Amino acid sequence: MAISGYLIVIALFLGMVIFCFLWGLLEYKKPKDAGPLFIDLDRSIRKRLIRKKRNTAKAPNNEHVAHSKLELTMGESGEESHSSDVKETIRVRGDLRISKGEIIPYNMIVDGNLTSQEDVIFQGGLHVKGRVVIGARNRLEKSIVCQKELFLSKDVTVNNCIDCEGRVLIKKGLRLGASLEGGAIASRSTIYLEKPIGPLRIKSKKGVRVVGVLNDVIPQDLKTIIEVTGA
Amino acid sequence: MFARYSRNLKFQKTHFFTGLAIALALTAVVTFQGFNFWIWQAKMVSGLLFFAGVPHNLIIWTPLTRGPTFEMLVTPQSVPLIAVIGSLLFFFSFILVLKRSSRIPSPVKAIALVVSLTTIFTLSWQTVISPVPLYTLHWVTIDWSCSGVIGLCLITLIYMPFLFALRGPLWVKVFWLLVTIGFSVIWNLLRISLVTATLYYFGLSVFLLFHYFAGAFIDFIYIITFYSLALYHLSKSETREVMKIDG
Amino acid sequence: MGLLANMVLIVLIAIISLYIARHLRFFGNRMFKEQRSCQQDLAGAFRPSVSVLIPMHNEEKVATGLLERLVEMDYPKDDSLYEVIAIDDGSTDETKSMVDEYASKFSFIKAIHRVGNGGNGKPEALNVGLKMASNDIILIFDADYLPPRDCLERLVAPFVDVEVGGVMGRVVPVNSGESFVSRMMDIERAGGYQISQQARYNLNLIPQFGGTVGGFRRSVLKAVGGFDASMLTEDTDLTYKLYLNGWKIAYVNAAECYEEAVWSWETREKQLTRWAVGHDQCLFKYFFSTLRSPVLSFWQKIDGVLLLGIYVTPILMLLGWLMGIFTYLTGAPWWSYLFPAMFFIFAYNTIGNFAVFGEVGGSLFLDRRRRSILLLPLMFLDLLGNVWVCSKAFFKAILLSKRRSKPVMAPFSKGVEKGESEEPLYENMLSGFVMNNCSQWDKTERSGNGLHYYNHKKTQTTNNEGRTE
Repeated sequence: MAISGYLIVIALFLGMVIFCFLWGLLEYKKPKDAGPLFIDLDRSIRKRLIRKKRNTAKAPNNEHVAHSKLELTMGESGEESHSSDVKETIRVRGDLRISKGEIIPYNMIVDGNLTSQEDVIFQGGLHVKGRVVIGARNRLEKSIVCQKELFLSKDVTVNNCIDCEGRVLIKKGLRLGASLEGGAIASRSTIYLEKPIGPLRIKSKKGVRVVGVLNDVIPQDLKTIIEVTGA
Repeated sequence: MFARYSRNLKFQKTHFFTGLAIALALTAVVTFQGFNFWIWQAKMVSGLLFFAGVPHNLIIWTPLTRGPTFEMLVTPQSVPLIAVIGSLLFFFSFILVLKRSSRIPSPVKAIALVVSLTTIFTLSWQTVISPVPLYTLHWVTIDWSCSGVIGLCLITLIYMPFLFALRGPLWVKVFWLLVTIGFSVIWNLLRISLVTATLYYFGLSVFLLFHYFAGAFIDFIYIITFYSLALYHLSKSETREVMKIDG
Repeated sequence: MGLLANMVLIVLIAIISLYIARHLRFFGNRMFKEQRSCQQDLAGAFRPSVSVLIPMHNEEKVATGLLERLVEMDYPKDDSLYEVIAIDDGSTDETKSMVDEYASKFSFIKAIHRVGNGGNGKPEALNVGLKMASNDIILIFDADYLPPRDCLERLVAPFVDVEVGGVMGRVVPVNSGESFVSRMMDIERAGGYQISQQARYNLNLIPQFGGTVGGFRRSVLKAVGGFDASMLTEDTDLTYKLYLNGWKIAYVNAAECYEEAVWSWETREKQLTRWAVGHDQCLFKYFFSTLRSPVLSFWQKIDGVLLLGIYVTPILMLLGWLMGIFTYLTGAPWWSYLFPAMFFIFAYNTIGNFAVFGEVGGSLFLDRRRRSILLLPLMFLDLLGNVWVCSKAFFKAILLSKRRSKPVMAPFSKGVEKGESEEPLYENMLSGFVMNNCSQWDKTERSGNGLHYYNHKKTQTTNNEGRTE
């Protein structure tokens, strides 16, 4: 009968439609991958090489105080380090130059380059979208995150961490990670050190190089800035 | 060892441009040999229609269609008014049942809603406002023939970034592309035959509904299927490659 | 009429095309570009003080699972660095005693019990926990979650950056094999987190805080007023509050955490309805402020607006289908006969939804879950379900926003004089989502089988080759 031909054509078309869902249905009915994405619940990050002895005194709760009291904790180096509960975060549009001896009581987000001269104290954290040049004997109470290059002059103290997308150039005398929150350096490029800085956590995508004289690897434009600012 | 959270793949430029070359070649074939393909397709459909017992004429060219189309030898029957009213009542009450029932899964509700609303609109429109539909068999054959051909180019375009650019053997990608194209051709042949045969056996209303539901929208069902099969085989081959690299 | 239909059709196609382009961009970025690490190199080295909040309401089946994981967490169990605050919000089962037991055993676990009929909802519970928390970083976990030991360290690492106000981790269903719905949830989550969230973070757009496996700086939370109890999705609300105030949210793909996904269509509908209504509330609240924001970049504004409208796209699709029927019956628009338009319409019809599937397929490819890739065609059913649920939710969200902004009117009932309220009608239509401006606990039924699934999986041989660093 003619209509049987029509029914066969329908059956063929429906067969093609069913075929489209067949594989999914087979996997659903007889699953070979029914389990969840495997997560090792016991996995942990590799232990740090050193365990710091910490003062376990609790930091004060300073929620309604704009500039908090300072809490003294003993850092690994034996020197006092200050941790402060800084609340205000400011954003600076454009490049920022900080003169010698200034104390910055804020967390700062700089939408440009940051340059600081000697003996500056940053009481809050830093996020800089451009290049960073930190002068000698600067103290950073918190962390610094930089999206381009980072240059740390001699005898800089960073109480927390350094995170940088670009190259990190560090002169001798860096003290890192004195606060309760820990410290480490991470870079998505190369880290250049004038002197090894001890068994701290350093992670670099392109390697860590200890160079005797840092000036040999500093690019010319950065050298100019360092000379001009006296960092 | 890999960490899936930061894992990314190397963009396979060679494979991507191979896919692009295939897309351009296909477009060229479609452009210069499209008419011959259209005629071949129409002849295949005509064969299927004879198999399905549909009396028709295959016309290779008309001024209106500018290509092959079909002419029914028997005027299709209209759906009787009583059947239209019955269908409208059925679908209206079906929508009310859908709304009240929480046991019916939501995908079924969605499909049922779209089918019901479309049927209600179409039947009402055709019965009350415009008994002569805008879309004739001529229009449908052009529509679906064009969409079938354009679909072949689109499949290749989709596969370029989503398949050819991924890591894995080129032959797997080309194989599944050709399989998808082949499936698409057969799909279109069957679809055009079915809509024409439906017009003959069930009349204008059902023809319009079939044309609406079986249009370009459902093409992506088979594109997803073959894409998933291709990706599945690609990931198998890719894993073997990575294991070799990792030792 | 024809002109209006044409205009509506063009606008719909344009909006859906924007979403398609967005999905394509995310796919390309996640699959082929280098990923931002969100300071994961510093994970484990940077350890700020953390308070973990766990809002609970009748969680006897799952409470111990999470609390046990938090006890085993790789974080110094120093009271000044780590505290867990379990907020029992009016539970009527054994949750109270379970929480008390842990609080008595471990000094860093604290229990808060709120009494009251049915509890006051998650946002209010979190606000109470926030008041009691004393540490710098607040992390939130829902009671049925199972985090790995390194989860906290990974989640807090981005707070090294002062610009980061919040974080979000990756949620992975642990019970994916339980039903069809849970398998769909599994692959949907994979696409949403592995591709979409990560790409948004890479591109410096707007990754979203999802309400759990994430957290904020305590100072930032307090500054933006905590969790808004009047919003059904306080997580989306917070995301926008942060971004509009200049903060960022970091998405940590490495901080994976198991959850119990819904397993029935009914529960899925309820959950999706709540998300869609809440999200649409945020759409009404933040649409213009996002566009006008002086702190967001151009692309962040575009992404922000598209993200707000994510639960409106299903209703746009439904509208598109209905417009399609209308134009089909009245005649295709004249411009659709032009070849480029024809090509575009066919492309839109054929591959319009492909980008979403491509995203999910890409995520499964990256995760090496080969067999799950074969489930992609079945996602079509899930997509249809979303159309139904999100369309209803959109209208509910409109009613909700009208109810709160002015005296309640009854637009559909005749014989009611202007200005007269019609509370019962709204109550019925809103199905108790918001009662007297207080959130209620919208509970997903928990089976408590989270660890069972995990342990069961461990004893099986499996083709899954997921390995961690």
